[in-house]
Amino acid sequence: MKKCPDKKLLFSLDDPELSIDDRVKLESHLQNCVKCRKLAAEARAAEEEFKSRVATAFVPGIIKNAAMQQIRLAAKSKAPTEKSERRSTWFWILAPGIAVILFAALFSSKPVHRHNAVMVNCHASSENSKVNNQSIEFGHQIQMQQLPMKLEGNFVFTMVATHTSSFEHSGVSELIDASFENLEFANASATFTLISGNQIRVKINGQNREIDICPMRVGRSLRPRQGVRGQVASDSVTVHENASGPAELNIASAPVELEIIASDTPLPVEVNVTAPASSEKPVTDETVNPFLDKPLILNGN
Amino acid sequence: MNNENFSDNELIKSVLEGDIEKFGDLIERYEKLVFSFLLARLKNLQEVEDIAQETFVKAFRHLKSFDCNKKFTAWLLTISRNILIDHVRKNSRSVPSTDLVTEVLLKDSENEDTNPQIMNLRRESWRRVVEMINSLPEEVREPFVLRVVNEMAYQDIAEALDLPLQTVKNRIFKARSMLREKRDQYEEMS
Repeated sequence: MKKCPDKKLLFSLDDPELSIDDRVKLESHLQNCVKCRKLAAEARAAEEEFKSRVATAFVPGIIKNAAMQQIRLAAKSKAPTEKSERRSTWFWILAPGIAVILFAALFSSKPVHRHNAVMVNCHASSENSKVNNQSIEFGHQIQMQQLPMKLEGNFVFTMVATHTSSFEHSGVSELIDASFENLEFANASATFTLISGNQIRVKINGQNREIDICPMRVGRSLRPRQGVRGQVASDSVTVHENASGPAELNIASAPVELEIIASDTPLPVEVNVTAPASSEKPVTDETVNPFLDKPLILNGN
Repeated sequence: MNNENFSDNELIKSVLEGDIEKFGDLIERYEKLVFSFLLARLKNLQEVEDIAQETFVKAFRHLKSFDCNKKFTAWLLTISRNILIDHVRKNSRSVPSTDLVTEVLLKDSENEDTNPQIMNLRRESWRRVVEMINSLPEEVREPFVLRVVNEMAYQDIAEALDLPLQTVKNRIFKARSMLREKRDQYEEMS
């Protein structure tokens, strides 16, 4: 074989897919051709080096162990078996029925009890509050281990569960139970006002009562958004329905940022600011906080 | 009966019937394949191992959808390629390129042998692998690695990479030829 073979063939010398005929011809040529022998040896060496380097870099078991660890965890929650396939078929058969029941429960006339309290906190929310005839400092947390307890004045109750709800007690009453899902007042002559959350169920004077959503949500901080026209004087205004002045209420729920625009520009939602009779320019003065010392009615979201 | 005697489809059937440990046998069978397939595109050893691991986890999750009439390796490499594409899209550092070898990122694997000599050997080998693979054009890397490291048949490579058989053969030849030339140059330089 005088003519050197195609390099494709030459570099495939170790390839198991090389045909027997080609291999015989090639080996016969290599015995007599130094140049081709050198080329074939170089190609073989490069390939061998690559293979051995990969073999050293690859550690068997690392990928398997890590993947199987994840797979075992995933399989605990959901295995891709035929059984789970059957379960999912059942799910799709039952799903419409479940949806109808949930829908009916959601819109039934009887309100759903939404508050399963797991923790109840109570704080004095005015300077004149008294517990068992003893004056309590504003903001002081009331320990409710020893009941019954006589309450006089303003107290904020915060019930923490999946949602946090708060209401304020104003007046006189006896707190006789504050266990899980049970908050009971006796001999009450007081006002109970929801200040945060959706709905709270309590027992007052032997009757189950639901403290529902107030027309005005109170006790939330109103913070001016940055860049809003009309500078609001105070950074944080706390509005309270029944209190004589601004009160710092310790409420677990997060404050809601509201967009306050103190101008006569049309607003995206309906905001009615009821100004005193003497006020001629209710909200156009950019230096005056329009929410200070004025009753506020908000309609919309 | 040794697990090596089970076919891929038999192992898959066992897994789908609830014997998830059989999936470990499948991983053992193909972890090197996925590893080497990924090294053709990535320069970071840790990334290769992470994506290989993710490939098998994803394959397990979607095992029901595997068509037993097709090749498991091709399906596995398709999953791996898709994860790789997502990864590259998210992390621009890993974009396949022909950067200088000095920029190769090497991070120690969490499960790596703690023996410093073995670690160094592994690190050095990886550096050299990246160097060699980066000396090849991107289009020839995958067929070459699948052929040389995993000894996959040309026909299987063509199916897995969705390429004509002759293209696969040509690319592997090109890779062999270039690797030899580059190795010569490298040795002359060093």
